[in-house]
Amino acid sequence: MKLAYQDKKTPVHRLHPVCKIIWVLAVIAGSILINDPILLVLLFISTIPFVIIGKIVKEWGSFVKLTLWLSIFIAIINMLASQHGSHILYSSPMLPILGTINITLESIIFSIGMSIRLLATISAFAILTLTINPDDLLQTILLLKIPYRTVLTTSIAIRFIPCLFTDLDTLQSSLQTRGYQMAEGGFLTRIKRRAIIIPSLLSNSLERSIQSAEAMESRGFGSKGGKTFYNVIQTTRTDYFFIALSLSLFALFAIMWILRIGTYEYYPNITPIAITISYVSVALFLVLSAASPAIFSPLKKVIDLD
Amino acid sequence: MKKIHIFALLASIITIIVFIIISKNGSYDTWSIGTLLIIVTTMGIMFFQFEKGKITSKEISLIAILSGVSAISRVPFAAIPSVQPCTYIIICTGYVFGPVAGFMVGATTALVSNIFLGHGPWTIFQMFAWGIVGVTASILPKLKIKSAGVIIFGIAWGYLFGWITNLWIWLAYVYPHTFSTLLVTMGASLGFDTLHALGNAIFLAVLGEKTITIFQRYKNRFHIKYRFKIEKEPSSMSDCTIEPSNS
Repeated sequence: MKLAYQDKKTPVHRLHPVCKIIWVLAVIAGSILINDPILLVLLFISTIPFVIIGKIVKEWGSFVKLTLWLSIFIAIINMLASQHGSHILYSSPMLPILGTINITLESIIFSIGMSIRLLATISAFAILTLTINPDDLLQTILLLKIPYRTVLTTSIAIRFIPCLFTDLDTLQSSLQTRGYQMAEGGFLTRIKRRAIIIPSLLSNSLERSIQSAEAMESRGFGSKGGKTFYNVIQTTRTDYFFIALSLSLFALFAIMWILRIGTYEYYPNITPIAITISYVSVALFLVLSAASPAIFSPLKKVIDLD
Repeated sequence: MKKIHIFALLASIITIIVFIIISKNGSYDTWSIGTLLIIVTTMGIMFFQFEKGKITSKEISLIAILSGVSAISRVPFAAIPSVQPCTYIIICTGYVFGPVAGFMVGATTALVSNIFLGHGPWTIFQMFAWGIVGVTASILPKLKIKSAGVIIFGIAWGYLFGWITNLWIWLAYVYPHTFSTLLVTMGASLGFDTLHALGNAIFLAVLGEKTITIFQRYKNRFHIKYRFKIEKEPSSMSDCTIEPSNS
């Protein structure tokens, strides 16, 4: 099991974690609030500069592949279960239990719209997973005064994963050297054969947890006073500028929500989208504010050095 | 009745009330927002319990390690679709260590494993579902439910887990929010849910009792209460009675 995050030392990886967290949350909020297919496409396109500049095209691609499978699943549910829409393209004969199934043009367009919404959301989550170091993410959450014990627990769990992996590997190897075959047999046999490792892994790990608790106590866990870090994330003035850029996206979505821009009714009839000046300006501002943290990220290093 | 049970009861009552209100005045968005609010509130209450409760470094370390084991236990079974040993580990944790530890191991398992497997809209639903598995498992010893009952419980959660995590698709990407669309969404993963339920049953049948014994032993070894006699100040350890916490 390899960590999804790899430090590729690109401008996107160097961006402050707070900036990226706010940006990701804004894109997710936007993809939920916006219904309009054109604006959803633009939102998705705006995430691509992060992928290209962050050099995560291959890893991001596997997320997109998963989205395509999920889109097919979503399309089937919408077409079969939703009988809404006025343009019936296909009407099935009477089926047992299900009755007559009508596939409408509206349900197909709605499925496409929802697939684009899913693409935008998953793309944002992929950027979060692939470009933010889990330790930085947890430290940022702690600095934001969000539950300390929860974050600490997650942090210890992540820290122990490599050790547990070594344990797992050792246990598997020791069993195999004794001629124990794990991959043989049918479905039930394979599960039973593999399951034998878990109690040993648990026993080892519980001993480890006591050592870890003792280490925590000896380092003053539970005493009053602020928490200190070995590596503190530095926040420069440029970071504030990038955080402001990400926040502008939130502000835009709030305005759109108040003015009811970006909503679109798929049912009962598909209506053409009115391309007005305000619509074009909103679309333009959406692309600019969503893509700008990535586009301007190469400048951060230059400005910080100055 | 413990504080956590009162919180859980209140959360359930609020959930029912909100659902009744939404079903009367419901629209497409209110269902999504309402469900998300309920999930976030319930999880918030549980995290609050963990943050503010009397928890020592031993509990934090234990929860962290069990979450780590639970997350990596998915690896040897990656070749077998939907078979997830984490559900059985979370059930055993809730059974022995109680609702807070059960919830925390469940929620952290989803968070930690998705750092490796990839986060998505499903993360919060997985955190909630596995967390609730841990909370509900803590009720089993109180009801004196043992081996066969625990296996049935594991089978039921194989399906319930799938239905809860499927909600993210239904809420955000399916229209309209009717019982038939819900049924189709839940039904679409029936095969995977059955494999999950079957996996839980096998793990609990083969390893359930053994794992619970390991956890009980750990609990007895490291969680002890010192009860001093009030009439006389203890001058040496022989004046103290030491009892395991589960006695």
